[in-house]
Amino acid sequence: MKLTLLKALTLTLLMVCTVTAAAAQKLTLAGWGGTDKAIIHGLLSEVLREDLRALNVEVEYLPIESNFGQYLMNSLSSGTAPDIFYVDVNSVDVLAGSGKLQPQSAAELQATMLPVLVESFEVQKTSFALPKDFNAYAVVYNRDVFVDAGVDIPHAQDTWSTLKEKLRQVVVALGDEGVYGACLKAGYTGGFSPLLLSTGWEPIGADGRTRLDDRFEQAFRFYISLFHDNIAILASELGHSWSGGCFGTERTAIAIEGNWLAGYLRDKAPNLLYGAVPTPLNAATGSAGNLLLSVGWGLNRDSKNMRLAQSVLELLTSEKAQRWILASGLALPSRRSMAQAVESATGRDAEAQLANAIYAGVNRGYVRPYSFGAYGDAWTDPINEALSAVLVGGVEVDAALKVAQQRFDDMYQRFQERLQ
Amino acid sequence: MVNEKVAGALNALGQADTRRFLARMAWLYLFLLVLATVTLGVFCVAFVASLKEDALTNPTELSINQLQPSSWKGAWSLGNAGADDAWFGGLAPGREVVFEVTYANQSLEQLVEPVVKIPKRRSSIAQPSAPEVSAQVAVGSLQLLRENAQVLYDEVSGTKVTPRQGVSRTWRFTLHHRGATPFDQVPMVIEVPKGQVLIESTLPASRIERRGRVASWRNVVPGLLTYVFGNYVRVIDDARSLTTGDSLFMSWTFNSFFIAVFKVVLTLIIACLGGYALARFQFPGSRLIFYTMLFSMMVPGQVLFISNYLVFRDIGLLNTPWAVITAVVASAQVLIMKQFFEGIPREIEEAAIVDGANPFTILTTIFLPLSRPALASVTILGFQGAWNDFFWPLVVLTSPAESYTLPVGLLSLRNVYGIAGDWGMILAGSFLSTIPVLLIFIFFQRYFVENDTSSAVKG
Amino acid sequence: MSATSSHRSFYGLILVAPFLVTLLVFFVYALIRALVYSFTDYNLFNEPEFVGLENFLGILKDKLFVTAFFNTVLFAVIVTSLQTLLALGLAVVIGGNFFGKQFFRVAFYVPSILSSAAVTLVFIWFYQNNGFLNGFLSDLVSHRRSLWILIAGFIFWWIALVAIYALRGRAVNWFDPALLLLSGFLSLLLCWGLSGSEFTTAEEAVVSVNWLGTQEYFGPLPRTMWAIVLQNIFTTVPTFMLLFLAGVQGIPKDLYEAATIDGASRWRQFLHITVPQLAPVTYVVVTFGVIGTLQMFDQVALMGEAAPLESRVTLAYYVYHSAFPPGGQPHVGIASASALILAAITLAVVYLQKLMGVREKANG
Repeated sequence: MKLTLLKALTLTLLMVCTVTAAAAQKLTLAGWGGTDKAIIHGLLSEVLREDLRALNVEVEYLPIESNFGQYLMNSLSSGTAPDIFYVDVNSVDVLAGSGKLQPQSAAELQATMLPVLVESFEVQKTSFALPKDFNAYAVVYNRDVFVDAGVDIPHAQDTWSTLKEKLRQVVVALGDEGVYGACLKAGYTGGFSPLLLSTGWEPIGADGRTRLDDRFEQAFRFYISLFHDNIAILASELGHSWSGGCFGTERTAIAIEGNWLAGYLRDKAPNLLYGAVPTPLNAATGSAGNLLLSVGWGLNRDSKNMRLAQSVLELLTSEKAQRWILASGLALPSRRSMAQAVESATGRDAEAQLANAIYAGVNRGYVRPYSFGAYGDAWTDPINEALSAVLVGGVEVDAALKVAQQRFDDMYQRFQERLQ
Repeated sequence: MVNEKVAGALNALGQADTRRFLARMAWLYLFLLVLATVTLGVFCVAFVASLKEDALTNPTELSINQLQPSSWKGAWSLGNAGADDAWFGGLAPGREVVFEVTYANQSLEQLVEPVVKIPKRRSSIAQPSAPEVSAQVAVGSLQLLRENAQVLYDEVSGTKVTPRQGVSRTWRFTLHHRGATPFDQVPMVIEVPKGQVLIESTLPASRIERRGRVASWRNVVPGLLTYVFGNYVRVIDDARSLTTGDSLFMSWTFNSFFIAVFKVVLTLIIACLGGYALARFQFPGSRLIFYTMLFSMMVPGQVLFISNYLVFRDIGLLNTPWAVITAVVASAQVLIMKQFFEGIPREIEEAAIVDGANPFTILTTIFLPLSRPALASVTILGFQGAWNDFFWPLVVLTSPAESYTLPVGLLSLRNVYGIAGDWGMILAGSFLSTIPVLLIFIFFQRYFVENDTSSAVKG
Repeated sequence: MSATSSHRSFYGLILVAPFLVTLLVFFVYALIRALVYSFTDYNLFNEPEFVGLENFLGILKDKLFVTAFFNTVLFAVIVTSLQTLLALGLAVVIGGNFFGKQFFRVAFYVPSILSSAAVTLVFIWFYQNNGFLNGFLSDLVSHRRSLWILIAGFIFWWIALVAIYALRGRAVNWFDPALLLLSGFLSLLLCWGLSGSEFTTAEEAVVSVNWLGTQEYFGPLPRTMWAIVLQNIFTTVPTFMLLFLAGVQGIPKDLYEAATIDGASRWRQFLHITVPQLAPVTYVVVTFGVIGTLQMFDQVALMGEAAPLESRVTLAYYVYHSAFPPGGQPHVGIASASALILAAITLAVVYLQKLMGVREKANG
């Protein structure tokens, strides 16, 4: 009798133990909405399903459709933040400053990533996020437009001037059908930064100052000339907010965009026949330029399950996961070992070409990350405003540059004060 | 004689008056019509645009495919053939639909047989594990039906339209469902060389792509409703929650209803109790409360939202409907009820007070039955206000998308689909979101109007 | 007696308690906290740190705040005055009750009862570069020849008809609607008769005004703000007009009769009878208008990337933008300081209004 009771007790205890062990731990993951939503969901529910089950963890993805920065700040401050979340490279300083971001210590894992990406998530030599993937710009062109216009398609050895000339010929041939060379964006991101960086211009000098020198002015004037020579128009004139949107309407010959354009075209213009080449060279420097955009995975310092979160993080950056991200047409893998995979990427020709063009683009010339240290995102404001003032405000280039330089100097002053 | 003259003059005067009266009426109604056209015109043209596949092409064109009887016929018969569902369409396993296309070109030699394909849709926005349509639906061989030696047609290239004269051929083919999954939608593309133009088809193409080389159909088996209100169906169907698979738009609608109803109930309780207290009771601080109430009506919400946001953050109610429902300072409603109660003669309640009834009984049995108009007005305007509220829900509802109300949801639709220029869907969402308030307005019109008028006259 | 009195004041407090709680938590406490935060540096993570007037001085130096300030104030002044004048004018023109009011009331009310989110999205579509407005203008410009013929034909028939009547010796009013309708009909006929001839060929013209995505100013406001002004007027004028209409109906008719006997002109009657009699309605319309327009937020937020921030920012949006900047650190202190400035403007305007409103009433 006693024995049976004991037996029963142990049995129940055992059962309780197994039940607790069997109940999977829950982790939450937060990132952008839009296209990322389905891709990350697919990653978790299909690609990594078995691995996650092996870890005995249930991971839920929270896609944030609204302002991601606001969401993250609020949830971190209220202690309701997810365990793992996107860290945009330009917000790493702010997030690290909040003290809620767990420093990354897995050196081995970091060593497998492209060093330039790993470094862009460092704040004062401490890494705060693991690069998830990256993106950069390439020239994407509409084959039909070039064929119908009888103009040579862009190629990798084009300089900015030869590309402009090709676009001019397209406009001459097809202008009466409402076709333009490209859509311009009044901002640092988009077509302007590859052009600007190809001159060898340094966004932030060693002393922390930004100088709008001759190289800047040269690139600035060239960019504006595309608009004033009627080769390019503003995206809003075709009812879009970015040049990829214009490109999808087949009313522009090229778009200078990143790998995200592949995913966009897949949904919005699945039949569009396109190709891609790396961003053009600068005739003077003989180099190309490119802006490196990267998103990392960050860990919440208050996570109740840090060890588990770390393991999930490793899964999220595994080769398998990165192959999925690449195949979904979102971004390029951050692992060094994946370079081969990109080059031999099968699937749709055009998408593989775009991925290759971007990969080639970050391996030649002046490549700078889209992060501006303690200045944060706001660093781009003076340039955005100068471009916007000239393109849509009708302001003279000299005046606009003067204002922008003044704003950079003010910013430097403020930045100095804060450091002290 | 004199009488006749007077009568004649009176008659003439009468005629002049009638004339003037008619003239005035004519002017008045002409004027009102113009005014009504101007105020409603924008909404009418936007509604027509919300039916289009692409709301931004030829925005002023009002004769659109979705409103053509010939397309209705095509959509009806395709839906019927595909899944016995003429209203909502679809393609059931084993079914076959017949499709006809007519192409024109300048000469017979240039007029080649088109290539029909069911495209592989590797969509990245839709559910990733959805079954592949192209693997299960086969395209039968094309059969030349007839030839027309003389046709006039327009060749469209970019924004240029060139009228042309040439020949045309009509082909017929079938789409056969060989698999086992019933499909709601079957996309199709037809490719031809440049210069060959699609001039007629069973169902008009959704888009012409590749500068005229490809005609594409979003769905070749729509029913009538799915075809005409395609964007409305998409708004409800396309955006779905990842975790539950529920339609986001329906969640938003439910949230809006839930929040509006509870908020109105809460407001009514607070307003009746508070209004009654301020109208009939003397207690320490009542004047202070009254003036604070008046003051609170003038302070913008932007001053208060940070603290209120932090309050809800600290008690952990962010991203729940309760954060929207309970953050209610019903000053205006308390004022309305107070003023209404003050208009009720004191004699009516005095008998009850003498009988020793407590204030709650007096409120519920005497005051409230007398205050139906005020209660109705607070309810209806409160519902409308809660339904349309944007700022505060935007602050407290950030994630997940299932927690939004309709106005906040509309903002996220605008962010997600506006970037792709998909205005048909955004407009469809906007119109759908206004239906409840429109219905309430139509049924309870006088409460909107009377309330405004009375408050206006009172000053 | 004193027992009942204290009894009643106890009940009064119980009854008012729910309202009092919400008022204290969501208004009084919130207002005090906003005051406190406006003198501190607080980003939701740190302990609020007292910084004195730094926030206020900082925003006065911020170009965006200054733009927001002028955008807001000018927007409020322009919208309020335009909508009041237009609504008053329309109400006086219609001038009282008419048959079929129910129907027109629906038409005039609908824009103002719909959510600003839905209405704003419709208007953003309307203002797109390849949207309806530009398309409509393009059509007008393209068919300018037909339009000119229509207008010229109308004027020709008008004068001709008046002349015919005059020659026959019959007195005729220039604005006789039958006459005007007939001229309109005849000129349409003329246009239709000429259609297909080269007089009416459409000349393809594309109007592509950038209504939203621009930083250009038109007068004191950015063009984007004018687009919002137009949207606001669109949605509010018909409703306010109905308010004025109710007021117009309430004016005793004998006032006008007496004035007519005195020989006062229509215009003088309008100035000296209609306007003062409508003062209470005007007061409400203006107060609603000012408070609503000063807090304009929804339209700006929904506009999003369709317009640069500088051309659409208002004080209300500046507050929100400082509290929740995209991708940046919240500046609660700056948000609170700018919100208090917005509140101060609102209160000042309401107070000013009250002063003037009371006097107007006394005159009336």
